Amino acid sequence: MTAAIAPLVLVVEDTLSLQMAYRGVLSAAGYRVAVAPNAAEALRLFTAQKPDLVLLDLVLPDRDGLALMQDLQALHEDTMVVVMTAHGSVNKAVAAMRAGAQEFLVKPFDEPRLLAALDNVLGTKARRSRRTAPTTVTANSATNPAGQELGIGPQGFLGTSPAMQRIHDMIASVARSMATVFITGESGTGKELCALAVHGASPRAKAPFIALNCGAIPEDLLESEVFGHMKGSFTGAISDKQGAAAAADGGTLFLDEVCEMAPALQTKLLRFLQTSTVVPVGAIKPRKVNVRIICATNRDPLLAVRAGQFREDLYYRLFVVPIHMPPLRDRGDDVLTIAEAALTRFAAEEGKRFDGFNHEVRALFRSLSWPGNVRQVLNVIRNIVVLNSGGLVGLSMLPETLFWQTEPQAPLAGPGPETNAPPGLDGLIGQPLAAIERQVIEATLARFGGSVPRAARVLELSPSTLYRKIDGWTKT
Amino acid sequence: MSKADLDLSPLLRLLALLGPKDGAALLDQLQADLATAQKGLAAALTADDAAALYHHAHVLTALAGTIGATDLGRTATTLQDLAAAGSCGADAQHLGQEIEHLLDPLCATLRTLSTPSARAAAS
Repeated sequence: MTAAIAPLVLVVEDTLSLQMAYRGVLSAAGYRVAVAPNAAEALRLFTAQKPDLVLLDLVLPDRDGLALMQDLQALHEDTMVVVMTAHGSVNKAVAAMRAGAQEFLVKPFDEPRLLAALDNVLGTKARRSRRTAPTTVTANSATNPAGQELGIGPQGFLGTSPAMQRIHDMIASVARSMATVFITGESGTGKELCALAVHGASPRAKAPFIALNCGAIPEDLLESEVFGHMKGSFTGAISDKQGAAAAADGGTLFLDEVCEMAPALQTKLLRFLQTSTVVPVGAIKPRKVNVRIICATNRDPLLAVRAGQFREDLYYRLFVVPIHMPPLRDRGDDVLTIAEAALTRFAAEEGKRFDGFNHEVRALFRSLSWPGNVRQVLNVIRNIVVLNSGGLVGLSMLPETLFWQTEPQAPLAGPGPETNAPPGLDGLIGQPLAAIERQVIEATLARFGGSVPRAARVLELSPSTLYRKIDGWTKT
Repeated sequence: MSKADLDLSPLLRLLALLGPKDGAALLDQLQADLATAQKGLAAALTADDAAALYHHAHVLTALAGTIGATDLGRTATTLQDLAAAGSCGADAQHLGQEIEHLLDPLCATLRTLSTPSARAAAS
């Protein structure tokens, strides 16, 4: 501790022996300590002494600790709070993190963990107050400018659906805290963008955002990628290498596909989260770093825990503020906003001019389930722009794969007893071929509930051809 | 209480950090807090007061963890869960009795640590 005046920690704890333990450890570490045995005294001391940090037990004799925390934050918006809880109230601790606490500690009392947590939180506060002018944004090569690939402008996510509005609100409220964020969602929903948005809105925005895909790095290299290595520590380690955790010091470490992490590395990650220190492969001395962790997976992390693939203690450590990215099918007209923005951008990149989408395409886009989410929309738009010269985008300009990929397989067996029997040949003879074709197509469409892709599959036509025919009938 | 149920190392480290005077005071206070929680627990079970039961079980969980009393911590945690669910029934009563049995030898062990030589022997 190098500050001229040591930080003041207000300990709110009603059990006397625990008060003594906290006071002893914190004093020995160089902190000034004030102790309150209940919420009323805590409020009084907080107002009078303006502590740098509050160490708060959530179970207090006179009041709920969470309610007290909210009062403290109402008095001082920047109040740094570390909550403590015993088993059974972990959910409350998670709620506290969501409400703005910077860290939570599970009792029993653990000296190194306590000091690491306080160090982390106060370190962030110091950086926050020191930052008077913008500094150069540091971006590691591992950082993927996902916004460029997922139809996101510099202003953030595109789309104004209620589902996305909830995401915006959640990002805004979680950004200022140091709470670990766990982002879930299907592939292509923008999990990395969400992580970038949290980082960008946080006090760490000017510090590095380092992204690491745990599923894409070979297991034997992952430890070195996360924690770094020393020259000569293994074959091929020809020089010292800084790991992602150290590179993200002061900023955010984004661990994508975290459920794919090998069990041995999960243990090391847990240790890292508890102590905030990294030990590069082959190193002897640990190095202290200050990073905010954001992780993501397209799996259900709890299922991974139950299947024994993901450590339960790590899960609870990471799953503090969950954000679930909604699939595109639940985002209403956002698909059109994204498609239009992508069309404009890709057209500009290709030096072409497109005049938007006609109403059939718009209706189709709204009706599709988009299993590949935003990424799939972008691929479709890129395909349109590359393979067409320009103009108003109609159904015939869409890639055929779109129809096959987005519709469930139709049952191809013959008609069941409940379906209308096809007309006999007698009824068709004497009619123009075009009329017969129309009857067959309409009957097929009726059989498949109006689904053009399914009907097209049975008729061995491309859906765009079928759409074109239907379009022609409606115009005549 | 078996040796496996009691890992005094975190407590001994804490006592070393605090020094002889404050360490002795902490040991006294730990015993006093354990006794208070024990009484509170018994009263809560008699009065069928789940909220009070939760509070005292919570204190015991934290104290047991600080001391390194694994069995006591586990039992208090289970009782805390029951109390959180609003139960002061037969299971809670049974756990309360179990805690009584665990506390006596624990307090005796804490008393033996009151001198630095005893702490050195324990470590």
